Amino acid sequence: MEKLLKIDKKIIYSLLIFFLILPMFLPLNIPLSISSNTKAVYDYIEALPAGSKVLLALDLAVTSRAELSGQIFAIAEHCVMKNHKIYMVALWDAGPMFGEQVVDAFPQLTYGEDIVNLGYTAGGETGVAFIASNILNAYPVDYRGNQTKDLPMMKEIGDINTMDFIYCFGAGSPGPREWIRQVVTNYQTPFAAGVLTTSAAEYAPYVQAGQMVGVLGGLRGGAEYELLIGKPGASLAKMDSESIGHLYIIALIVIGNIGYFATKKNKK
Amino acid sequence: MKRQVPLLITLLVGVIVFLSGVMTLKIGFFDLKTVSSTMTGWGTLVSAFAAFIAAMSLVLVHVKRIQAVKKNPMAVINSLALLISMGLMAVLGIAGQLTQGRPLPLFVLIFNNVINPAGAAIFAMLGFFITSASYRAFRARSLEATILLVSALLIMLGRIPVGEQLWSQFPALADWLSNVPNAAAQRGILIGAAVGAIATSVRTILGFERGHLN
Repeated sequence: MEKLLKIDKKIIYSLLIFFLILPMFLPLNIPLSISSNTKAVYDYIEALPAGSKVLLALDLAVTSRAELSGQIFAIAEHCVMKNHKIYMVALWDAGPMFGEQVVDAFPQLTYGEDIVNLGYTAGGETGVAFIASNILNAYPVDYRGNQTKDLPMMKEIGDINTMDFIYCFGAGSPGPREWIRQVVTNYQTPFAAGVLTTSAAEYAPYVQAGQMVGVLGGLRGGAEYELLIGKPGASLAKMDSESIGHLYIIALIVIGNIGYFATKKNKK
Repeated sequence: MKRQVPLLITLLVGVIVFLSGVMTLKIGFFDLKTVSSTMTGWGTLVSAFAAFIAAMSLVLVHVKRIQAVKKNPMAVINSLALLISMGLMAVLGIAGQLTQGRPLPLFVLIFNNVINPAGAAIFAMLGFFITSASYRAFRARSLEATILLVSALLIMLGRIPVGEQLWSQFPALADWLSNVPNAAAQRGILIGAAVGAIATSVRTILGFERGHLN
């Protein structure tokens, strides 16, 4: 029984890799239910009139891209399906690069009329406050070097109230909290966020207080949204691996505790 | 003067930005909201320069390591790799901005095919550490540890699709844990942190807190 407490790390890691890769070759297609948070965000974007202005804040780094990219493209796809105008900003330096990937993913959109990548703003929470006070002042040029006042979709843009909805893809700080403090509190602009799975629980008070429409957690949030818009993608494909990986970790925890209690009993 | 001027600037900017959030004031050409917005813009400029200083600091640290090659020869390889890759991306980025106002195709290629996968790999390593740590640390040694263990298991089973197939109530249990005890605790922490932030901000604006001057 003591051996249960001393499983070699090489075995643990090898089995983890095996269980994560296995569903990629043998898909299990485990059914996925939709959470109330994801449904709330979907319903809100769905209900916005066509041509609404949606601000996507790409506040993430390359390390978080794998977990949040499914949400990014799913939310953007939904906006495209509803003919919403997409404005992308970033408080993290890598954000605009992801913005360019979003622009490239929808070649049917006209840059400057349907979608724009405004770029990075330094300053964290101060940057959010600056963007909120006047978006054109914060971005005299966009990420591609165009004068924003010459872009058709920027003609009627003033402060953050000209946006109909804000969605923040947040991997830390600055992120959703800064948007809530500076924008939701002062301007009451409707707001939702997609965050890492480990951070999703931290935003429950904001959702319950009505400051957020909803919060999507990591890979699962992206998978649920892909199901809702009817466009299964990378996030949904990875859910089987996530299921089996988690089951493996639970099994290890149970094995560890069995070994612990058996050893404790033997010592007595 | 050395300390008085920065303290005066802190007081002036702090009061103006604070007041612009709670009132509207327009006297002639003076519009409180416009002044506050301008000052906020200055803040983003200062932050951009701070990022530049951080980059320079990083370069200096690694140049010193290369100069101290006799002390630690192996560290030189890592420092050289960092400086070369940092320099390459900086040159490509600046060249792109100067020539066409946007990143060069090579910059985008390196970002998409080198930096993105490398970042994902670094984050993926966490999964292995968490697996090993969970196996070794999650033991029901005490009542509190047992509560933590059971909560963690319920949340994990509630958040994965296979958990719902094992028992249909796992998601509901996980949601209850997240929306009731967790939200209550998070709310307490948020409010406590916010009260602390208000106290520190008032002290900083009034000049009692001077840590930002060092």
